[in-house]
Parts: sequence; structure tokens; C-alpha cells
Amino acid sequence: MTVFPNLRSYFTMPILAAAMLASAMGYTANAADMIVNADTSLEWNQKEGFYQALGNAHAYQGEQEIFADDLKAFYNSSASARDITEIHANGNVRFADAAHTGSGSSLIYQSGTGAYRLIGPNARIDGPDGKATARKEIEFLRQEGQVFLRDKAEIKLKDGRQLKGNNLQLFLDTQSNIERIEARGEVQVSQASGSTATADRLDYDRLSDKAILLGNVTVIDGSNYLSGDKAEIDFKTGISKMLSAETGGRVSGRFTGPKQ
Amino acid sequence: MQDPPVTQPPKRSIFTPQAEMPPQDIAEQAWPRHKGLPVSLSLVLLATAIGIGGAIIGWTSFFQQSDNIEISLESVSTQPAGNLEMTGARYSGTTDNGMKFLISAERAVESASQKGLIRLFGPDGFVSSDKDGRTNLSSNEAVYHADKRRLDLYGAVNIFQSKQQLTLTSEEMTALIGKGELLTKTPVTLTGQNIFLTAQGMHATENGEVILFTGKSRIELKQN
Repeated sequence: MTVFPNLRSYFTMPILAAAMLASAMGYTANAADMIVNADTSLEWNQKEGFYQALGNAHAYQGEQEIFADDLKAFYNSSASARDITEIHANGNVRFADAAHTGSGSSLIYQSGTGAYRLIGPNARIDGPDGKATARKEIEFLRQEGQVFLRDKAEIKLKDGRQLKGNNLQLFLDTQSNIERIEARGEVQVSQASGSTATADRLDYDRLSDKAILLGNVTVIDGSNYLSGDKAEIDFKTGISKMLSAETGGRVSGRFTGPKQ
Repeated sequence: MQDPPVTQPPKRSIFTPQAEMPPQDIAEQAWPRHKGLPVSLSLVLLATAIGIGGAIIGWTSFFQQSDNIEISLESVSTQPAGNLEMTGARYSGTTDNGMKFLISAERAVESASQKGLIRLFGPDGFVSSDKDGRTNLSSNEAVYHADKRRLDLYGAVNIFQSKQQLTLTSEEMTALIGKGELLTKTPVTLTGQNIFLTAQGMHATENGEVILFTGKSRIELKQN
């Protein structure tokens, strides 16, 4: 499951991280430059330490780019280098790199940590293996290797699997691949085969490709129906097990045989 | 029939510190036949105005009246229309807030019909301070409107700020001295070692600390 296989590389460059210190020797362009275009205006505010691009603002560096109605890049005005510390993009925000695209109403990026928040409604990230959406926001904590999808979150994989929940938390490995997922609240898992499961919470482990569902669990596979407090889904084998919870709750099921 | 221009003998390095002589005395001594705006006041305002133009990028206030102005001229003459024309004019000194300046022009003409209007040809100069470094300014021409406290620069306007190593160029630039603003509606370019910016216009306020580049704008920033 690699919705975010290269998530760490979304903003590997400090966007707009350029010093405004210049030299009389003049500017020599190169491929690593950050370039910002704006249709309406570009403000350099040295008092408050920011650059602001308005009107079809577009910032890019190499294959990474951000589009927005309004881009505001802050720097530490007391430092000589004036490196960008934070970027706020507002209005019709889109971003892209070589493998991913994203969209939302606004974006906050912190260059020091590489963390960003893509704010909704309907924040969305598309990757080579699927897409992730959240109504409120998608927050990526790069240093912690965690992604939070908040409010009516959903992950759709190209293999047909879907995971929904009020809130999803993704734990990434050093390669930015998903190691583990925690889903909380109104969790629903769907597979390409059509089987679905619902629960109060879900913990998915990438290595075993298994998920544990807890609380008000139901598993529906065709006409078969299972319910209980705990279930395990093995995505490799497609077998779902309803387990007895530690509290000793009962498991119930309804199995319908093939029609004659 | 008009009277021929009256030309004063060439004067070089006429340093007249105000500490030694009041401004009105300086004017009367150097240009006794001039009936317009007191020359010394004009020069003070002019030097201040050009200082503003040069100081606009990241400079702090330079809007006080200057003093301790030293004036050097190659020649001064009155034209038939009553205009006062000076060649090889150099104005230098230190402002109230401690900024040194030197402004030179190949030719400077003060209008007799439009009081307080001084036209400079080939203006070139600088202002500097320990805090902000030196800023050079040049253009093909400049017109100073004393009544509006406005300096209009025309043709190949070039402002270079040494502290940040930034060069600002445009074909026209206006310095609003009273407001501490610099603006242009013509394409502008800002160049440095780590920055290259182009825009369709510019409006710098708060003594250059806030610069709004207008119209389609593009900035290229080097990554550190």
C-alpha cells in the first residue's frame, strides 16, 4: 500500500527558500532556482519579512510546483540569508511533483521541518497507487513520518481497496511507504471483491497485510454477514475472522448458501 | 531683441559650509542676479530628492532637510527666458540624519517660469550611511518639483544598493519625497546575485521597506 510512496519528497526543497541578498555580479539562473510568477502583483515586505504573490500565483522548482490564488512566503528578516521559514498558499491550491498531485483550499508549509497542512474542504492527494482525501485537512509531519487525514477521511487504492474513517493516521517508513494505519470513527473497509467491513476503529499493518477491527464490527461478504467486537482481515488471503473480544463478547453470523 | 545669456566665470570647488554663512548669503554671493527660488534652498531640496531616489531600497528616513552642502560648479548662466543653467554641478554634504551624499549632473536648469522646478541632465550620485551602506543612482534626466516634493527620473534609471547588492532599473521612476515612496508604471527589473525579478511596475513605500511589484511579475530565487 503505497499511497504516499514519495511523500517526503513533496517539498524537499525549501520553497521560496532563497536569500534576497544579491551581488553586483548579477544573477545567473540555474535549474535549482525557485521561480515564482504572479499575474497581479508580487510584494516584498522587508518589515514583516515576507514575499507575497497574488493572482494565479505559481511557484516551482524543478518538477515541484504550487499553484494558488495567493502565495505568501515568510522569512526571518533578522537573518542575512532570509531563508524561507513558512509558506501559506490560499485559494484553489494545487501542488505537484514528479509523482503526486494535491489540492485544497489552502496549504501551510514549514520549511524547517518539511511539514505541511493541506486544508480543505476536500483536501486531496493523488499518488501512483491511489488517492487520499479528507474533508478538513491532510497534515504531513515529515520528521515524524506521519500523515493525518482529518474528518471524513478516505484512502482509495488502485487495487480496489478503500478505507474510510472519521480520522486516519498513517505511519510511514523511511521510504515514505505506509507501515501502519490507524483509523478512528465510523471505519469502513471495502475490497475489490465487494466485501466490506465496518468498525469503530481499525489498525492496519503493512508487513503482514492484515487489519484488526475493533468495536461494533461487521463483516459483509456477499450474502454472508458477521458481527462482533473484534475481527481480523487478511488481505493476502482474503479471509476474514471474527474474534471474541477480551471482554468475552459474543460473535454472531449469518451464512447464506448458494441458491439451488 | 533678447539679452544674450549672462555667464558667470567658471567656479570650481566653491565650498560654502552653512556653518560659516547663512543660506541666503550663499545664494546672493553665488548667483546675485537670480530672482527665483533661493538657489541654496533649491539645491537643498534637490539633493534631498535625489537622495530619496537612491535611498528607497531598504533605506530609512532621508526626508529631513539637508545641511552642510558643498557645491561645485563648472559654470552658471542665466538664459534669455530667465532660466538658471548650471554645468558640472556637484552637490555633496551630510544630511541631518547623518547620510552622506554626492549628486552630480552634467547640466542643471532651474525654470524661471515654473518656480521650484529643476531639470537635471545626466544626474548621477549616491547617498550613504554606516547603517545602510551606499546607494548609487543615475538616469538620463531628472526633474525635481519642489512644490510637490517630487523627483521624476527619466531614461535608463539605475539604482544600485551596495548593502544588499541589488540593482533596480526602469525607464522611469518617481520619488515622492514627502511620502517616502518610489513608484513607476514602466517595466522594472531587480537584479542581484541571488535574485532576478521583473514586473510591469513598482510602488515602494515606507522608505523602501515594502515594495509592491505590480502587473505580471516573476521572481527567480537562488536556493541556499
